[in-house]
Amino acid sequence: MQIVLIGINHKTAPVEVREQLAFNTELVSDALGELAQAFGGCEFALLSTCNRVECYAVVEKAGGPTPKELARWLVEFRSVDYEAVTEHLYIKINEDAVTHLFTVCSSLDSMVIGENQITSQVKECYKISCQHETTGKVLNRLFHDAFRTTKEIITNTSIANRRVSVAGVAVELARQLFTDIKSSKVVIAGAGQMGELLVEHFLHEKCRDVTVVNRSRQRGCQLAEKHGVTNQPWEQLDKEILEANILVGAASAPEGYLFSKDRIKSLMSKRRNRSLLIVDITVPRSFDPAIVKIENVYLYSIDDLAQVAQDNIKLREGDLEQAIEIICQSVTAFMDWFVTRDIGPLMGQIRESFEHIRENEMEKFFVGPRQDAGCREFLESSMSRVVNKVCHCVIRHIDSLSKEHGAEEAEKFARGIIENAQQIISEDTKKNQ
Amino acid sequence: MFDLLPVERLLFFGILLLSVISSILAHLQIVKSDVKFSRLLVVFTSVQILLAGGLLAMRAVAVKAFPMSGVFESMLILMIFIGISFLLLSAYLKQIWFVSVTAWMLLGVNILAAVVAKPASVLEETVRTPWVVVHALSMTMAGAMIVLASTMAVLFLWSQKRLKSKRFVTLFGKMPTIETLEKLNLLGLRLSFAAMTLGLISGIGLIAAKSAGLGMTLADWLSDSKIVLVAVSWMILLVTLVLRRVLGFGGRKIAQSTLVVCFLILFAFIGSKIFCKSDHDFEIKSSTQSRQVE
Repeated sequence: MQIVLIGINHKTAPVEVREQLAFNTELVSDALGELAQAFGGCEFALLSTCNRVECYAVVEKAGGPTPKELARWLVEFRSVDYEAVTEHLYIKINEDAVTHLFTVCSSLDSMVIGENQITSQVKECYKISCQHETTGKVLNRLFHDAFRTTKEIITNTSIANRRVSVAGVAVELARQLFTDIKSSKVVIAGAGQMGELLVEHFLHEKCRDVTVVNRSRQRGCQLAEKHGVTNQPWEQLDKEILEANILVGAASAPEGYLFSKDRIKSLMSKRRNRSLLIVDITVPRSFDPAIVKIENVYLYSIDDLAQVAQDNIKLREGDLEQAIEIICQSVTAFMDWFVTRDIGPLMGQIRESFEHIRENEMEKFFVGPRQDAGCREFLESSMSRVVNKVCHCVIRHIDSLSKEHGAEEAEKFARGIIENAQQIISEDTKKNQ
Repeated sequence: MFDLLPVERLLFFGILLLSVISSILAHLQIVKSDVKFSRLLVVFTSVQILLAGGLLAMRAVAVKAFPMSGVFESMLILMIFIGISFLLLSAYLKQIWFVSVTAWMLLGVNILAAVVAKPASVLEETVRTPWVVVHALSMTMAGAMIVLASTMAVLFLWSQKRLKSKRFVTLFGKMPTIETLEKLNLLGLRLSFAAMTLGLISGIGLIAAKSAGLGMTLADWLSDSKIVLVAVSWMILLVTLVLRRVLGFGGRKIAQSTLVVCFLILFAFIGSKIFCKSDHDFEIKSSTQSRQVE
């Protein structure tokens, strides 16, 4: 058996190619059903996100579909010409495929390292495969190991700790300034796309008092209604700032700055110099940079936040080495299990054969005058112990053989022992007859 | 430190040693960005408090009274107050910088205690009144509160500088919020002001009751360096708190005032002993001397 991965991702193909091969949930279900019918006895899981389409399969080496056949099947399932996309496809076998899944699941292969969305997507992909019963012993173990490895990486490294988006950094800053961010008043001046993104981030932090103030009342109302926050007319902006802890500038002035230093200074004296965090996400900027000199005012432009986000990405990348080390250990552990997994039934057969030989020998011994000997019970248990010990020695040898020389060598050795044991059994049977 | 009795020296050496180890661990915490030594620091601080308490108890037995005349005793009580406040706060503030800076602050206090360490002394018979007990305890309490407020002020100013200069990444998760630091700084300042006010009132009560017996005139009192420094500190605290209430004086100015007052108070406690003349102690002789007399 071998583990096969066929895939395409943001690193190997442009969006135009990826979108042709993308699967939605319904298509994933259909494809899994048809794959199971077309290639019975194999295991399949299909992962499709905006950045990647990947099919994980466990197939028989001999007699099963080849990786190329699988790749062609998948591409043609999406009614795409195989030859046209073949240069963007990657095929990985066994250890490479396992390493790839662990890397993908722990987000090390994502556009933004440390984002947790991909882990949820891999979990969803596995869930759908389980529902369609297209996973088996190998894929179950593989995906569970991938989730465990991801958890280990998140716990032991800081790749997922730091915020890497502008809105995320703004929220982190607010948390460094205010003890209870949930009860802080947030005023968003402007109802554009970035304003809305920040509304979402602050609501995610469970901020209870978020107010949107927009020049166009209608647009402000729409945004407020959509997210269940308060809306105020533009004329009320200064009044809202008097109460605010966090002010997000998401609306520019036609010319110059919307907020001059004097305007903020006057507002600050009215608010008795309570700390105010200002996040200016507009270009051109709507807050005079000199405002930063005012006592207890903390002003950050989009560039400041973007710089921090960039620094955080670099810091996350700094932990990459440690994460890769964890992945390598997990891959080794999985492959150890995978290569010895096929030898398991052979070990059972060896034990069975040895037991058979023991029984034959016992039968030969307890005949005639020895038939009713009182030591039979004692001798049987003693022989059983001998067989157990011999079996243990053989199994340990096979195990180390598979680790040192590969599963094939170990299998060959195990089959040799079984053949010899069977020969002894058949000779014994002939003699008895 | 070398004037102390052997047992006292041993106990105080233990305090200093623990304090130095705590400071090294505090430094390692910051270097490694890990709070794994925090529990150990809490244990070490608790042991330091116990040792300081034991040292004070030994001195109380030696002079057969509550030991309050010496600066060394005051520094030990100061250390105990700061230590207990740290233990209480550490349940809520677990950030690396808070724990580490407090450990360094304790080391500073212990080093100052080592500088002024001397054998136990007894109070002059004239001043042995309830006034002096209230005065000594409230002034030490005021000192402890101002040292704690200063710790918060230092952290606040450093945090604010990093935030204003947009180099704030290092603060995330390692420093208490600006709001918490400002609140604790102000709380320390208010408690210190209240304790100092009580200390001043009890001091004035003591003067009114026993001035003649001490042989000091009003001019002597008003020109005593320690008293002048404490009075100036009290005035600064008063002005700061009034301006805060009336004009909404902000965190930075409060923090700066705190540091000035802390310096003045520490100078009044220790510096006045070394650099200026002060008749404020009212001690007659050391315990060793008194034992020799007996």
